[in-house]
Amino acid sequence: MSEHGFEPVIVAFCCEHCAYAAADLAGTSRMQYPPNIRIVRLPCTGKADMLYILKAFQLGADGVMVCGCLKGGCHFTDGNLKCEARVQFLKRILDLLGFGGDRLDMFFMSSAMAGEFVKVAHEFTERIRRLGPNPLFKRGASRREGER
Amino acid sequence: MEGSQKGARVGVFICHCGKNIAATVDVEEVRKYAETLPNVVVAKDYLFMCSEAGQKLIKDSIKEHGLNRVVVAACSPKLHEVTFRRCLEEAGLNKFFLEMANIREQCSWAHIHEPEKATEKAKALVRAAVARVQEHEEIGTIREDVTKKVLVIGGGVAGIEAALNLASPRQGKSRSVLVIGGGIGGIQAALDLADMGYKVYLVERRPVIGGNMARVYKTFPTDDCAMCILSPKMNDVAAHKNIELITNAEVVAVEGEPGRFRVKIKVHPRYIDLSKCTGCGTCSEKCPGRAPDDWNLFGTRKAIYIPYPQGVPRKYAIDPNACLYLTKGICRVCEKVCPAKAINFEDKGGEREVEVGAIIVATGFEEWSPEPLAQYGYGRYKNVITLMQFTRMFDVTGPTGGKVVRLSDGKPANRILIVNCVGSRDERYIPYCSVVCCMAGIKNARILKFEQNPEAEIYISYIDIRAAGKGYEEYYKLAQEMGVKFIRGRVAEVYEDESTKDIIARLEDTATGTVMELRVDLLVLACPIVPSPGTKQMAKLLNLETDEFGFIKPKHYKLAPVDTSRPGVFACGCATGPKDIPDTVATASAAALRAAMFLEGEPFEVYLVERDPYLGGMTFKLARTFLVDEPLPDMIAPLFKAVSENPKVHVLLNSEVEEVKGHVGNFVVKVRQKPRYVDVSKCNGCGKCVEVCPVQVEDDWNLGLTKRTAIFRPHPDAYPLAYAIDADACKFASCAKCVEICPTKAINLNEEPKEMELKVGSIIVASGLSEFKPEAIAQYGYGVHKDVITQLQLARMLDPKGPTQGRVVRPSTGEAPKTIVMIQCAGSRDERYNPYCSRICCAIALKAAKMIRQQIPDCDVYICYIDMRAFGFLELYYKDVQSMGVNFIRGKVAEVVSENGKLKVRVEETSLGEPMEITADLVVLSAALVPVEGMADLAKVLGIDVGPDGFLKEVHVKLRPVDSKVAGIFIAGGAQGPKDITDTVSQAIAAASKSAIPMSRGFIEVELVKAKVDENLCVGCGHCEKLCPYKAIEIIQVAPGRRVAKVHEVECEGCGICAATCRVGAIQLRHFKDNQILAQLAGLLGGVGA
Repeated sequence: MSEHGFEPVIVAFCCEHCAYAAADLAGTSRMQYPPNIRIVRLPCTGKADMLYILKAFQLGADGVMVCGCLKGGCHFTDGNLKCEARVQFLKRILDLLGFGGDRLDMFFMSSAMAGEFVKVAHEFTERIRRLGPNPLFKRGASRREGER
Repeated sequence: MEGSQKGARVGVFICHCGKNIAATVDVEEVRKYAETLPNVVVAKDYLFMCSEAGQKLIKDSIKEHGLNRVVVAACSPKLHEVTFRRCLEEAGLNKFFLEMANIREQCSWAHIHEPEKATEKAKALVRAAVARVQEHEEIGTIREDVTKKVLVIGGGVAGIEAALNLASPRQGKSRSVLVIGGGIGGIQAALDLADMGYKVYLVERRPVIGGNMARVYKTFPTDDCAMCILSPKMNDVAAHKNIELITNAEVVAVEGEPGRFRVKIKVHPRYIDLSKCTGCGTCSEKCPGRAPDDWNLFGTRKAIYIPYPQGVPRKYAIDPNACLYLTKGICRVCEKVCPAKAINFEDKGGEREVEVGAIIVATGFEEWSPEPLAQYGYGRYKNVITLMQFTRMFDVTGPTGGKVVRLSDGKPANRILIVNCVGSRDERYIPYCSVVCCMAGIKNARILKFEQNPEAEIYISYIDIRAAGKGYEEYYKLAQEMGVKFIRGRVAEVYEDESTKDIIARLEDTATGTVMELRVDLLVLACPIVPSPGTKQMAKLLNLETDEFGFIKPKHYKLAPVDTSRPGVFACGCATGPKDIPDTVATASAAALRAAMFLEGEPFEVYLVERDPYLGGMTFKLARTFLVDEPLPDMIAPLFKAVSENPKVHVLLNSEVEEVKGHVGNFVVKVRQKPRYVDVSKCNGCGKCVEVCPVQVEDDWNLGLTKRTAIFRPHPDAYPLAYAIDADACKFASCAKCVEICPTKAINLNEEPKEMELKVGSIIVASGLSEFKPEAIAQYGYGVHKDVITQLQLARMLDPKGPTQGRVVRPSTGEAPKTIVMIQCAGSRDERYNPYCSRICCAIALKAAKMIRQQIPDCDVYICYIDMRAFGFLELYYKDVQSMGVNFIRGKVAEVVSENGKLKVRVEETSLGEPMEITADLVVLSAALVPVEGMADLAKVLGIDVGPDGFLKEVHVKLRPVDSKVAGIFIAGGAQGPKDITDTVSQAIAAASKSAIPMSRGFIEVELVKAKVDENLCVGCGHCEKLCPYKAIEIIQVAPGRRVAKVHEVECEGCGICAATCRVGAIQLRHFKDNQILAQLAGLLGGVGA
């Protein structure tokens, strides 16, 4: 697969109360960001199990972003902080495995911060584009039938 | 494709949403693709899936194809998940067998220029939803009957008002109520009454609800996005089956009497068929008509419009004064382009007649126009705007697309001066203070620096910074630390640089005594809040008494803040005077319960638990109140009487709560009652016991100003009448003189403590306030010099029935003082003691100064202060006290020393830049207000939080000021934060209103989207228990040596932290189970993996 034609697929785990709402507001305000971003809604990033993140990579995601409420503003008190700890841990593991911890990151925003969502969507997509496709799917292994 | 794997039969329904989805996403391609997915039986598309027709399509398909799972690919589930869930239920399917794919907000609208990629993404989202929905399970609700009793902890004014409002008999038969005004006040009142089970007519004059709160972009002090916290409430109003929302309408006539009002509502023609309009906005895009934008307060909008995009109902409206067809007979483009055929130029509007038991006026405020103040250049210079106009600039959906710019040339505004009190505190225009402007200006300054332009130079010129609410002083501090520059002085004049259109303001910085000129890009004028046209209209229509400013006058400013002069009619929010959002919400909930008094219903049983032997709390220690000049005991006596006469209020004195178990609707509370040793039903208050009691101890009720006996009564008007024995001071059997002499044999020294178990449905915590102990501030000499006292001690002196018979005296000599110095902020606004502002000490000092000047006309009174926080109508009181010759020294007192039997107070008068030494006979410290002793322990027993300031923590300081984090436990009054009697009573009735909700319904219903533990996998490690923010999961013993986690389903809030934390995967969050999320991921990523 040519580097030039590479369009990353990015899974974004978003908490219902803040990040998901910020993404909705971005759409309502017609703010544009890359269609590479696919959002999965969770009640709280505190629910973002390490299993989900790892599985996303295993299933072929090129990048995973987790978006939660601003620190101190978690709807459920501090679920986002607990998730942050998990994400930091997983980044280290992914680095150790040679997979690349940069393919995973966590971002914080309030439900009003549509601009912030759009900004991180652009930046993260660019980052993953530069990092290239998911290493598990290199060496010509067919990724998936048809579209992604 | 037919499937048989799990017997799943999935139907996929794809919405065009007019052109909103279809213009970017190839709906037909997605539909064809959906048909190929495993277990999808049928895939259909429709223009507007949420419409009646679209929902019918879904229901019919379910029946026709025997569907048992439904995917709707459309707008955000946040908008219509509730709608489609209801649709499934109506077709006989469990509502959780629905999954939505967000292909509008998160697809078609965000990828307008990449239609092929958007279509591919839509396919992936549909594939994910189809995979996930097959893993969905039925989820039920549990219903539990509620115990219709309330526990009120604390017998001060808050506790008493809460108890009386809950226990008072209802006076009506109607089950309907009218709320006039759809701002946050009206919305809150409507929701509370609807939740209680009443039918609410909510009338709003604009085409949408939301009011002023929808304009403010962010709210202080939390910097929450206003729309984010308002939208869920607006959506609740629209979806609530008990609320009839009537927009674009006005109340035009009211007749009848309380309990039976007949109301005429005129619905103005909107020219839009509400059942057809989907809010897509195509009409507005094409409309050539324009009008001044009265929502955004500058710029223009279209003739067919929605005031703001998140407005509820999301339906457009035509302004008949701007529409080219309605004014000139031309155009009608909207009609041509509307995909739903919703335009109706024949609309004549209509009239509704309803009968209601009570009416709530929640008509809000408007911003005063500063044009009369010609020297500020408003209306002449382009770059001079008002605070509300400035606020609109921040909103991305506002008139400048979210950029703060100069109006003259559109360039970014980097230098801004916000001028406070433009027209406020001004006898020539608006004499009162508008409460919120200081904070609103600070908020905007902070957001500008934080969000848009950290290098921006922002100045705020002020007289006093009135940051007196909960969290406000801390917020003010943050703004100072951020580099917002505060200049203490008024702007004298303003002129414009003709060539650049910059604004130059001349002002004096009184702290440094220098005159300065500031050149800025934008001059923002903070103007007063005045009654809205709606308030004036409704006051007239309903014949309500108003004050001199046009605000609706409460029946009693202190004790009946939401009642009006007319029985059955109530008012809340800014209709009665300027106030912030927390006070608006509290008065709205309070008005709801007061209105319910005129509706059908039953009073509730209340246990009023008080730690002391007497009711009244701190309020009862005051001699008089500020603003309402009545002797306090006279004002409060009727409350005591009402408590004693109400058979449903059970007063438990000398009692404390020891343990609380259970959950909302069914709490089990253990209360311990210490012995009083005096039988309240026998004691006649004759006082013979006091005459023979040999013990003398410090009278702590009178704050050490006098001594008392072991058997005592703190005040001649105390309630109850009976005496009480102080068990720590009494000599009991070795004396017992009182027992012998008591004529009614009321004393029993062998009385034992009692343990009681109470079953209640909800709990209100109103444990009150205490004064900070200023001994900690060594340099003020409290506890060292006899003549340094606190305001509360002064209040005891001023009480004609107090320890000094109402005379202010020097404790050292007993003589009247000739010079008194009051020191404000003693222990408040101070990092070393209490960083917060205690809100009412300025008013307390003003009141005390007034009383002293009246009592001792030649006594010099000095008040040393930092900011004089006489907010709202207190400003008038302040002016009054100034005119009485009280000296105001603007500076913080450095120290108080004793010299030759007098006190020397050293302070700098910062307005003059001069240090002063005042020789005083009496120094009064306005000590900080703190929570009562034992507050933290009580909070622990209840399972609720205290904040960093020690006061009880509410769930949300703006929109849920009386809710604790535990459902069914409410907080009110001083326990939540320092406040005056008016706000205490409002909160108390609000808390009572909230407790009345589950009890009025009679049951609680909880959807079981909660955590579930597989006991076979659980190892009892306890990590989940540690991490749960709600104490909703507990490790319990199920067998010898075997402990597992158990979820308390009512308390569980469904966040999933426990599930993600569990090391062995024993916990799943229903509807967000691992197999469901993993299926979704597999669908999202194409299903091919390692």
